[in-house]
Amino acid sequence: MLWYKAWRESRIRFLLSAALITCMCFTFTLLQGRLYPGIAHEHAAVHNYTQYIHWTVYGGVTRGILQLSCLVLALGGLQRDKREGTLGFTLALPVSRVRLVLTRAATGLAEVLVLSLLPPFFITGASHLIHQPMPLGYGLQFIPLWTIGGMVTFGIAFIFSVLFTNEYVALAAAYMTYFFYLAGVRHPRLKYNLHVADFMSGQFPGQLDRSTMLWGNTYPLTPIIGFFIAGVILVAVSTFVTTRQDF
Amino acid sequence: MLWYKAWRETRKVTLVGIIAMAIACVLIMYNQQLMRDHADAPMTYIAYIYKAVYNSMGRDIFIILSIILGSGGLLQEKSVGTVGFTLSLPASRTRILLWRAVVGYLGVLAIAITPVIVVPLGSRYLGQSYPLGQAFGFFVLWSACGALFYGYTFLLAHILEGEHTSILLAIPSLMLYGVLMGLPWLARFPMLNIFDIMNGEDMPFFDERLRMLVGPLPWLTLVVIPLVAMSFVFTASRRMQPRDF
Repeated sequence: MLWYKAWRESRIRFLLSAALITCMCFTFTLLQGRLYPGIAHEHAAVHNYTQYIHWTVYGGVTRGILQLSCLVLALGGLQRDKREGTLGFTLALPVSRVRLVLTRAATGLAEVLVLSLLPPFFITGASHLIHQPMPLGYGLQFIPLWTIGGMVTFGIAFIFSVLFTNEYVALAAAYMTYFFYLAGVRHPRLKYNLHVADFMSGQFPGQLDRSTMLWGNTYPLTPIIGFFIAGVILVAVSTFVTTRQDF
Repeated sequence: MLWYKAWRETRKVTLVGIIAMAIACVLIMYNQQLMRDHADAPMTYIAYIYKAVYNSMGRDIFIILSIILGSGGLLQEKSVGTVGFTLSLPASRTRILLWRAVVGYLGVLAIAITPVIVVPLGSRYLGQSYPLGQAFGFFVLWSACGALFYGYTFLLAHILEGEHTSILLAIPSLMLYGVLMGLPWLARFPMLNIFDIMNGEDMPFFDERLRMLVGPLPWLTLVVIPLVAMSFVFTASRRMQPRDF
C-alpha cells in the first residue's frame, strides 16, 4: 500500500497539473482562431496549424507546464514527513527505505506518464471539433519523449526532495539547478545536444523536420535510451542518499 | 519579532535566489566572448548582458523565485500543524500577514538588486563596462514587476490550501497571460504587458538597437503596479480574518 500513500500525498498536485495541461490544450485548439494570428505574427516559423500546435503545445508553453509539474510532483517524501512530524510512523512501517523511495518515484513517474498521454488525445479531439487536421499519430510520437524527458526533470527535483526538509527550498534549488542545466547544455563547446526540452519538443536530429514540424521516417532511440538512463541514475542516487541519512 | 519569524521562514529561499542570480551573472559574464562569437549577429557587450541577464536567464530566475517567495503562509502552516502557535501570538492576523508580505518582498528586492552589484563589478574585472545606471534602471523595473508576481502568488497562497497549489496556478496563469497579451486587441495596450515592462521590449523608454534604457521610465506605471500588488496582499489579509482554522 506504499503506492497508495504516495498517491494520497501527490494526488492534488497531479490532478491540478492534469487540469492545467488539459485546459491549455483546449485553449490553444478551441481558441485557435483568435490566438493563431498573434502567434504567427510573433514567430516566423509558424505557417500552418501543425506548426502552431507544435509551438504552443508540444514544444511550447504546455510542455513548460509539464516540466513544472514534474518538478513539483517530485517533492515530498521522508523529508516532508520529518517536517510534519510523521516520520516516525513512516519509518516504523515494515519496509525498507529503498522500497519507500522507489515506490514514491514509481508513483510520480506513473503520474508523469499519464500527464504525457493527455495532449495527443485532447488535441486530436478538439482539432476535430474545429475542423482542423491533426492526426492522433502525430501526438502519440511525443508520448515517449515527454515521458522520458519528464523523468529526467522529475529526477532532478527528486534529488533535492531527499536533501532538503523545507519544500520551498527544495523547489527553489531544483528549479535553479534545472535552469543552469538547460543554460549549460547550450554552451557552444558542447559536442552533443543534451537539452532535455529540445528532446521533449522533438528538436533533436532525426526527430521532427525543422521546416515543417512533421515527423520524418526515423525515430532515434539513442536519445530516449540516454535520457532514460539519466533519469534512472538520478532516482538511484536519491535512493542511495536516503539509505544513508540519519533522521 | 514577527519580522524575524517571517525572515526565518523565507531566508533560505532568498539566499538560494541571491546565490543563483549571482552565479548566473558571473557565468554569463565569464562566457561573454565565446557566446558573442557564436551569436547569429555581432552584438556589443551591453547588448549581450541585456539579452542574457535581463531578457533571458536572469529574468526567468527572478520571476520563478518571486513566485516561490510569495507562496507559504497561514494556510500552509495549517498543513504542517504550526498554525495554532502562530495564531496564539499576541498579534492580529493582519499584522502577521503584513509582516510576512513585507519580509518576503524584501527578499524579492534582494534578488533583484544582485545584478546591480555583480554585473558592473564583474564587467570591470573582465575589462568590460556595463553602466551602473542601466543596471539600476532594470532594478527599478524588476522591483515593481516583481511585486506583482509576488503579490499575486501571495493572494493565491491565502485562497488555496496546499503547499504547491499557489505555485502550480501562478506560473501557468502568468504564462497564459503572456500568451493572451499577444492578442491584437490587447497588444494595443503595451503598458498592460508586464513582461515587456520588465525588460523594456517594445517600450518607448528602451532602445532596441542599443539594447539600453533611454529616456524616462514609466513612473506612473511603476507606481500603479506595486499598488495592485498591495491590493492583492490586503485582499489576502481580509480573507484570513474570518477564517476558522
